[in-house]
Amino acid sequence: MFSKSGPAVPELVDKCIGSRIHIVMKNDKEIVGTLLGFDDFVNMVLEDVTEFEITPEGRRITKLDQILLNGNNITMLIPGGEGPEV
Amino acid sequence: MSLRKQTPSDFLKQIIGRPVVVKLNSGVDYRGVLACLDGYMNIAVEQTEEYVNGQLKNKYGDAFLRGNNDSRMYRRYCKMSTIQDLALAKNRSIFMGGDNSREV
Repeated sequence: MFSKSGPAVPELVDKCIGSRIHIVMKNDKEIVGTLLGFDDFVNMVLEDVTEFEITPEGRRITKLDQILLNGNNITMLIPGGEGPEV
Repeated sequence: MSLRKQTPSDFLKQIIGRPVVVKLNSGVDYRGVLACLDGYMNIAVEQTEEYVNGQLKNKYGDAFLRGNNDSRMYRRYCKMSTIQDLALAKNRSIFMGGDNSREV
């Protein structure tokens, strides 16, 4: 009745390893970085990271070397994305 | 450019003992030396500084930050009591509760 071969999220994310990826969070935050790895919960290890915070005063941009991003609050992954328009 | 595949658990083993910043959804940052953590992302940090909106607000000798991976929710409460016991055992520690979500 239901097809077993639906979209396999881990396979899709694995294709992005080594490339730039743009991550949109549930709150007003977006992250752009190079994907080094991830786990079953799609917690992600990223390097050369730029963090965009969308605040009423404007955007706050931070640069980070390597981060572990908790997958709990990820809404969307955009492979090869460059982030929100500055 | 070192581009070898690195899972989150590899990353965490690599950074234990190093200075880290733990950013919570609430906008609070904790800077200190990573002492240890577990599979639920409960984190213990030493020599911790608490930054709210970029401003230093507090300093703690030891801080325990509760992780909140919902996929193991049924075990979360057991894990919490263990961390709480550890926190109570150390006089100069504080325990950070809540699910780290920002109030909207």
